[in-house]
Amino acid sequence: MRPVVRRQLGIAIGVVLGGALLVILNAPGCEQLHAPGPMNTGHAEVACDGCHKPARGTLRQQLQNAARHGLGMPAVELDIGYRAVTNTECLACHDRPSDRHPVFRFLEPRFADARSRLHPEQCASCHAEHQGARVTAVDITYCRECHQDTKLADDPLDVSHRDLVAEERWDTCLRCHDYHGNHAAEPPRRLDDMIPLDSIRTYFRGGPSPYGDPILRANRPEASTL
Amino acid sequence: MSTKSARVRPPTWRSFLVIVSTTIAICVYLFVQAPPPLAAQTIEAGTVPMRSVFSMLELENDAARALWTEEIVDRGKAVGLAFDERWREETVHAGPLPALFLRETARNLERTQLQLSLFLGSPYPINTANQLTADQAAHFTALTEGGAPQFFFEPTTGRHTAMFVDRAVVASCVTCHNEHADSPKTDWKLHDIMGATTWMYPHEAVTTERALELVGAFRASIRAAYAAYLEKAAAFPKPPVVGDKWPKDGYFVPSEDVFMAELARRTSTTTLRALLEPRFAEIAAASEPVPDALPAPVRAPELASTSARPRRDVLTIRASRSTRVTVERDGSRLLVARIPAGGSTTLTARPPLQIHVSEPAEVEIEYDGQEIAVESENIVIGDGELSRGKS
Repeated sequence: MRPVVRRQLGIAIGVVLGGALLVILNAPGCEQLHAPGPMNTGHAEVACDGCHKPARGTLRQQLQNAARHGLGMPAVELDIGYRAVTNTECLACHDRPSDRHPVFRFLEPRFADARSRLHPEQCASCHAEHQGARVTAVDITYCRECHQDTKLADDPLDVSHRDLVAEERWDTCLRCHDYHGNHAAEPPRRLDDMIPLDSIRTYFRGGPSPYGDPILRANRPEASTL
Repeated sequence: MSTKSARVRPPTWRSFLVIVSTTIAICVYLFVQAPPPLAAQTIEAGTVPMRSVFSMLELENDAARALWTEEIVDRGKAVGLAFDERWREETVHAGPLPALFLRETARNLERTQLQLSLFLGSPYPINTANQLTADQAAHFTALTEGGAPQFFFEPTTGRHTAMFVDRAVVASCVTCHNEHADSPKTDWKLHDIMGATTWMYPHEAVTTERALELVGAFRASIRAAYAAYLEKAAAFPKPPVVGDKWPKDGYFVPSEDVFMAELARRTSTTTLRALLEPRFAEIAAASEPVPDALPAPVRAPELASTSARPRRDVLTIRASRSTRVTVERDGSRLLVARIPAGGSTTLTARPPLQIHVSEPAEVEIEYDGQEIAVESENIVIGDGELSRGKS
């Protein structure tokens, strides 16, 4: 076979295989093939379009906008194809009236330090998706950022909260209290009855709740098609 | 070696043409405006300064807090309704305390996606999570020392921010905070500055349309907070009767519409004027003492005409410096307002009326076109006669 013909045949085969791959990846039911990782706990039935919404405008408008931005010209948001997933998508299912730590509260100016270190104003800071887990934050001592002054006049715990703070035992917080306050179990009154650290870590990885049953379960996303 | 050299050929005129054509095509695709450019989603290129809108919202918030605290919590407790910090718990048959009613409102506001935020903080909070710290504490100090609202830009969130004083407006604020086991300060007095409300928004100025939308969203958030209370109250062992009566009438609570109509009655005149005169909102929401830089007092045109053609039962109160005014009839509060320096307010109401003004020396009062002597903080307009009441 002549070199030119062989090269042209190679290009043709590449084009056909590439096209076929694109078709397969975009076929219904094949979304997991191009997902960056397994879905987080409880999200197995959430469809891609439950969180990934199309960006505004046509693809051409989006590319033009990005090109203008690249050249330093005024441009609006830079999403191409799909818009960035934000708190809005999370709260569509997980917004609860009695959330102890709703993300918006951390926008207040006084939380500037906590924002710079933890970004508690974003759900994904602790719940990064496609990790196959429930909570992706590794350090469980983050309560120290805001609760340095905790002291209760009528402290129900056998070791006072004031002492726990003074001794910097920040690993004890989540072993009695769940961060969002969405579970039925009452916090223990004795420090010895704390939840074992392993149970907390197992729960973070997607295991059973050590805090009791959820008070409110998440809504199903409207856009779910599965 | 020789094979590789043979593959690297100088570009021919054909490849040059392909490169140039491709570049032109990409440039046309990216830069020629066949489709309209992606429009900005916001409508913020307005001329209403956000500090005026913040002030407008704060006046609404002041009125809503006073309405909830005085007419629902205070009078509700007197007839057996309960209010508790654990009101969201299923086994607690109670409504939200004032601070939690504001938090409920703030949470509803966040849900609107308008990016308007409201927070309540204090240097002496019952819940330490509401402690004002860092830059916010510094602004609070300036707020209490200078008396004027604080407006600043918060760079880490990119939000324009306003802080206003939050005072103990009724006795129950003082009682509750002085008696709570976790309160770090127990010598609060009526009208003390107990903390501050903080408002945040991403833009420095908005259109009138957006300003209206923000006020509307805030009122809708208050309505939703009140609706949440009614939903909870319906599950009480002895639910209060919901309708057009208030706790002052007995074991009743107003319906959503009645509650919101009363709020609108108390705030709409001020808010409308603030929309027409944005600077008015800032003056009205400012704390005492009034800054020297305020414009000279101007008598509102509608008051001049009112004086010339007095109508029946029209009460007019003018103030030459910022003054807090309360008007009641038969124990029912008809008006709670802060009149800015040079400002005025009118109310159509039958006598007898009990009026309380914080600055009697700076106030003029007319009723049915007749001037009323203001000799003390408390003035009574009786049925058919005008007299000064006892303090």
